[in-house]
Amino acid sequence: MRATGSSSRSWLSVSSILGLLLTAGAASASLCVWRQPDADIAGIFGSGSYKTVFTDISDSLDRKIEKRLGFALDPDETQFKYFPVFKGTERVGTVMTHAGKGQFGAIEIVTAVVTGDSGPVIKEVRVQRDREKAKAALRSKEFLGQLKGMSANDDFRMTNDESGLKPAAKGAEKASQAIATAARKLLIVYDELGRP
Amino acid sequence: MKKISLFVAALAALTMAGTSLKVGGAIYPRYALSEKQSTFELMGAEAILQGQVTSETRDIMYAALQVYTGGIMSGWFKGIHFGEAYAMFPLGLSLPTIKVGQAVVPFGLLETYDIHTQIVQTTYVKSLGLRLDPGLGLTGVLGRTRYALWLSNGNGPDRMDNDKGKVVTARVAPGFLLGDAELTLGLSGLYGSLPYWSLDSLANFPKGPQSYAVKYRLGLDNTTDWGPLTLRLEGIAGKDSSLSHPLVLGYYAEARYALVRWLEVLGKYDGWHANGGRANNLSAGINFYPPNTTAYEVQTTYQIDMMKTGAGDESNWKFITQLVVRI
Repeated sequence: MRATGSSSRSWLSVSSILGLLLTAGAASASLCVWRQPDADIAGIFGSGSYKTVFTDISDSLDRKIEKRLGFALDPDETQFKYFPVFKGTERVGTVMTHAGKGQFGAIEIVTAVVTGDSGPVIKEVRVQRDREKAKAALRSKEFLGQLKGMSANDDFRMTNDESGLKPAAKGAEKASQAIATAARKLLIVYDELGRP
Repeated sequence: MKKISLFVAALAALTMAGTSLKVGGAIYPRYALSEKQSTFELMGAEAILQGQVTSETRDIMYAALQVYTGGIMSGWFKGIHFGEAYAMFPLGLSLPTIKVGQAVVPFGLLETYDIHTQIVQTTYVKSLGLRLDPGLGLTGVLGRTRYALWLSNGNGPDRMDNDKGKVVTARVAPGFLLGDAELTLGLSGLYGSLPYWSLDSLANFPKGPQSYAVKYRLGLDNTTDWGPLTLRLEGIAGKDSSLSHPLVLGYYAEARYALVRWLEVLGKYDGWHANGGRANNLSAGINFYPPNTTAYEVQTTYQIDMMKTGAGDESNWKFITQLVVRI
C-alpha cells in the first residue's frame, strides 16, 4: 500500500508538472524589467496603479511588425510586456519597457504611451539603465523631450539638421538613435497588438 | 518534492484562473582548468517558473520558483545557488511589497547583483555563510531610495530553524546621477545566528554547517555605471559570536569595462580577514555577449585564490570558461 501511495503521488507530481508546462507560456529571455515603476508613474502620470500584461508575438504579427519597422526583430523577441496604468478604474495610459542596442551595451528605456487623435503617441520616454558615455545628455529633457507627442508614423531618424531628431551629444549618435528606435519599436508593437 | 508539488499545483490553479504563468530556465556548462584538474562540467541547470496574478487595475501577486534540475553542485554549494521560491505581494504605489518564502538575503551587493549567473562571486560565502534563507520581509522604493527588510531563520535553504534565533537583515540604498555617472550607495546591517566556518575549515563548506555563531555585520556597497565602466564595491565589518571578539573584515572591488557592446573585460579583487588569517581572490576575465540575442553569453575568468592561516600559506589558480544559456 505504501508503495502504491508513493507511486500515485509521483504520478500526480509528474502530471501536475506536465499540465503546468502545457498551460504555461514560455518566458522570453529578452524581456526588459521595469526598475522603478513607482517613481516613473508618479513622474509621468502623477499617481495611479499598474498591472503587468505579457503578450506573445505570433509569426503573422512578427511579420507585420518587422514590415513597419523596416528591420527584423531579434530571434528571442517573441514576447513583449506592457503595463496599463490606471487612476482609480480609468485607464490613463500604458507603459512599455525595452532594451535597445547602445554603443557599449543595452540601453533600457521606459516609454509611456497615451491615446492621441490618430493613434497612440508618446507621452514620455525615460532611460532607466545604460552604459553610455553621455549618460546625462541622453537622459536630458532636451533630448528625450523631442520624442514627446510622436506617433509610430513619424520619422525617428537622427539628423544633424532641422529635418529630424537631434542626437543628445556629439559622439552619442549611436546611443541616441538606439533610444529613438527602441521607442518607435514599442509604439509599433503596441499599435499592432491592437492598442490593448 | 511535496513542496514543489504544492507550489506547482497552486501555480496551475492560478493559471486556470486566467493569470499569467511563464516557464523559463538556464543551463551553465563550463570548462575548468587548474593544477589539479581539467574538466568539462555542468555547473547547474535550472527551471524557473514565474506566476503573476493581476486584478483589473493592479498586480496582486508575483511568485517565482527556481528548480535545480541537474549539475555538479551538491551540498551547501548547491544550497547557496539554487532553491529560490518566494511570493511577492505589492501593496500599491509608493507602498512596500511583502516578500515571503526562500529568497536571497538582502545584504550588500547581494540585493541587486545577480551573482548566481557569474563566475566571479562576492564575499558572502565567508561573511554570511549562506545566500538563500527562508523568511518574511518588505522591499520597496521611496523616491530614488531602495529599501529591504528581511527576517529569516539563518539556517539556509530547505531547512527548519534549529535554534529559534532569527536573523534580521536591513538595507537602504539611495541612487542618484552625478554628472555622467549613475551611483547607488547601499548601507546594510545584519544580526543573528548563521552558519559558521573558520578560514581553515572552509574546505568543508560543501558538507554544510557544522556549527553556528551569532554574527554582527555592517556593510557599505556601491554600484557605479560611468559610461562603459561599471564598478561594484563592498566593504564589510563585523564580529562573530560576541561583540567582545576581534573584528572580522571583508572587501570586494570589481570593475567591468565594455570595449564594445558585445565584449567586456573585468577585474576583481576581494578579501576576508578573520581568525588571524585571510583569504583573497584575484580574478581577471573577458565576457562575450552575442549582438542580437540575450539567449546566451560566454564568460571566461582566470582566478588566483590565496589563503593565509595558522596552518601556512596556500595559493591556487584556476581558469574557467562558462556558457550561460537562458531558455
